[in-house]
Amino acid sequence: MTTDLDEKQLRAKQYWYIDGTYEFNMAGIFLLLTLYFLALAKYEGTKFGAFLSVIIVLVFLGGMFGVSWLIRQLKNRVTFPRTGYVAYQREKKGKRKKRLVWVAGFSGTLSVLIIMAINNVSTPLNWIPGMVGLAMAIASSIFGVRMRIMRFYWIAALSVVIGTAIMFVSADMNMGLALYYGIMGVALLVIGGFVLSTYLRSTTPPEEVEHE
Amino acid sequence: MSDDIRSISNVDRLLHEPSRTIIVAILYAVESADFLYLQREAGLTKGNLSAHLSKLEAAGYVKIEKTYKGKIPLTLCELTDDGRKAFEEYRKQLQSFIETVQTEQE
Repeated sequence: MTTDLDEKQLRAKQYWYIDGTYEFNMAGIFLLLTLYFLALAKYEGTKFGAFLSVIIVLVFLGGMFGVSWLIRQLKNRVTFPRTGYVAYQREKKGKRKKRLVWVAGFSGTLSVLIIMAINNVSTPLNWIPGMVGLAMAIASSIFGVRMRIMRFYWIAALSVVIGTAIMFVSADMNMGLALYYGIMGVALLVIGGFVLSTYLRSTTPPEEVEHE
Repeated sequence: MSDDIRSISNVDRLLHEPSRTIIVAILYAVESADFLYLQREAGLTKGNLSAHLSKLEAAGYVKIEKTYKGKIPLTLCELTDDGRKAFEEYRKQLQSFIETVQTEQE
């Protein structure tokens, strides 16, 4: 009985990921980062390049906000009318602060690494895409374990493979990162599209109904 | 029969009904859910779900709000603080009952 209840509660949490919009969300952010790193590779060593390296946090946060808004619209129009609406509890203040510190730390480290690369540090930084791929894989695996959703393990594996391959192929860090985010972005779009089409085929469009 | 086993008779009878337990368990995991979602997940008919929700609302365990999202009617259900506490207590009692039975069997 208690296991059944746990299962029902887990399903309620998994519901947010039922339609592939999470992958679209991630793909949107990744493609935005692709443009960012492409621009950085093109304008490396210029003042504009230095400016770009400083605004990465804003690009990241702005992208997250914009893409999340689009995803909410998609959910409101497609998912909620078909299979119902669910609102999730907001994290407690302490937990939210902890997460914010983590995100700030991660973005800060990334910014420092980019500034180091721009300043032409003698150490080659082509291993960074591999590290980013590994970090993404770890995050995706943890998520997969927490939510018990199989496809997050596949995304993790894909991230390691792409990150490692780029590490050996590309000598330039910015171009390597642009490649990593670009390929992962497209891959996430494909995975999200597949999940969405499966969802749409297994559910029926809403009818206009009276209140229950 | 030990007191622990006898304590099962003290469980919240309103929650100790499979459909209502499932409804409350789902609502416990989220902030709110609409009628359509609950109906699909609990596998109930509209009439059955309505009846169960009315009982839970009358007991003060569930808050129901009727609204619209665009042209589509939305019946939002949310567990109240009392509902949350009652479900936590119910799970605790159930867990302790299961553990006692398992210990006595060993």
